[in-house]
Amino acid sequence: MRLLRILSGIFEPKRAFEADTDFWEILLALVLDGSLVGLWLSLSLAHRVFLKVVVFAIPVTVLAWAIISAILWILARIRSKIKLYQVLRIEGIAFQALIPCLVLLTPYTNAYGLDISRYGGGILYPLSVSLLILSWALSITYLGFRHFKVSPRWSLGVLIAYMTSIVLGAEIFMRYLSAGHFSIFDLLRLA
Amino acid sequence: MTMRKGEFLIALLLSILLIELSLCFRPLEKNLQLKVGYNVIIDREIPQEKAELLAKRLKEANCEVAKVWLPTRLLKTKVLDNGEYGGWDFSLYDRVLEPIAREGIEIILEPVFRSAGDMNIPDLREDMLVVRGGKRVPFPSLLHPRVREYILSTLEAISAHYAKTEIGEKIVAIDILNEPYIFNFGGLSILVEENHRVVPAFLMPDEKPDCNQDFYWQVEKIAEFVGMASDRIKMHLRGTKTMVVADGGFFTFPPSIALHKALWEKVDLIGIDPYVGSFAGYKNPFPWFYYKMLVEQAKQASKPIWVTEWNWDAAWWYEWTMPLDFPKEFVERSADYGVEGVCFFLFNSFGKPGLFALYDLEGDEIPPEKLEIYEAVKKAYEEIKGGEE
Repeated sequence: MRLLRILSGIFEPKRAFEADTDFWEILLALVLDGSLVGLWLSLSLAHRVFLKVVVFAIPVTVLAWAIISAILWILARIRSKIKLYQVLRIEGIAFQALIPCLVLLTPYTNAYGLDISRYGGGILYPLSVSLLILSWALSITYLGFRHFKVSPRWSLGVLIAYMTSIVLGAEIFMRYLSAGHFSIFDLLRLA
Repeated sequence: MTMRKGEFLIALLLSILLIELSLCFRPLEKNLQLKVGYNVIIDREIPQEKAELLAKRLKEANCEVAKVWLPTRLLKTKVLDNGEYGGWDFSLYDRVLEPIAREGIEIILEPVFRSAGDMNIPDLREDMLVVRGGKRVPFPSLLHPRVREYILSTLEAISAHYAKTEIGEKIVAIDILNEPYIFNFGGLSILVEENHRVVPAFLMPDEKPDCNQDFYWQVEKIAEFVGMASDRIKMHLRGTKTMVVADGGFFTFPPSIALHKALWEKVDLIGIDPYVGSFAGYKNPFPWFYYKMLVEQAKQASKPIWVTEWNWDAAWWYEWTMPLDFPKEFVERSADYGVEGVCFFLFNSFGKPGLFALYDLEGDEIPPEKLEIYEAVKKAYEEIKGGEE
């Protein structure tokens, strides 16, 4: 049942943070997420189960969780005493937002592959889903930081710094690829 | 043990996800209307008996449609006294196309308006070539008036020559631009120069200083030109469709997608060239997800889609690498995705040693080492048409 408590942490974050979960339980929840992602990639994109992908998606999910947690921990500990283990727990719960994300994207990917310029309003649907889920995961991270006594201002600062660096990195990459002609915001022209 | 609200919600989400995923697991739909065929490349003179045998071999291989590459340099175009292009010699074109048409095989004609070598414009000057990455490259510029005149007059000559003939009736489509150079630098592939210096992947279609250097202006002009070429063909071959073909990487970069969408508006059919094995092996979903994404991108133009080239991996033509169960799945998926026709690349060898091809034009036979893959493609074509399972 404690596994279910982690999984349902996106709906009840406070309860999930208070629960006495250990590292292995969080890891188990992430293994479940990884296998769902693998199944999703296989079935919704190619209509067949590819076991290799299901197995491969698990370490990728766990690695993503570890890297994101490490970055957030490095940023957060500048002005707080939060521990890496606590950030890993927070992100373990925030990662459960993958489940509603997969639910919302399955009909879309099944119909259109990952073609972001399709689905009625063009890029609107996948973009809205991504933003919704991202905000959800970021809110849980914020609540987690607050639960572990990081100040509200610094919690917000960490998330803003984190998001800014991701957007900036993508923009620099796109500018580099296109010799300065195109921005990631040009993707919106595909709508 | 009671379930709390959050636990109930996550259990509900998980159930919905599993139901959705189980619905994705479905058998592929068979579409008996899918046209199947091969690419044929003729880049030099061949005698009549070779052409006859080639057509016969195509028929034996269950070919319904052949994409026949005949570079326009084979027409030996001349500059006439009045400065116009003319004097086309259609003898090789006729020699190749006539037996294929006689076998009842439909033809997609590929005149290969691409490199300077393919076209061999008789009065080609250096200023007619495009400038990319700061230097001239051997591609005549689609923005140069004289290059445009060459392409338009040649297309009109071809259409007029085959109008109201039996060959003309079998030419179901003419490809105006095949994987044009203007897109090849897009995508996430980083361009690496000879000295291994990595440079940005994006280049303008033509960087000549006397050309407007606005990207979308150039796109619009090239699209307008494709529209004009399409009209010239239809002046004579009214029943023939026009086509542009996109290489398999066009969708990876927004400018490249914008270019293709502008071109697609001007023609009747869209060609795509997926080489799905280029993506991370066979036993995973990415080849199929890549293929489906290509088709979905092309579907946005609401025009019929042809797979004008397919094979395992373009980079592996020189090796013997195609998994033998791949042709069946590829053809079945093509039918399932709503593609109108598929042409395997490549049926005949054309002089480049080792190039992956099923039939040896020199030896007049299917070489023994190619028999397995030849049979696999032939059988896949037979099965999709409702033949022997």
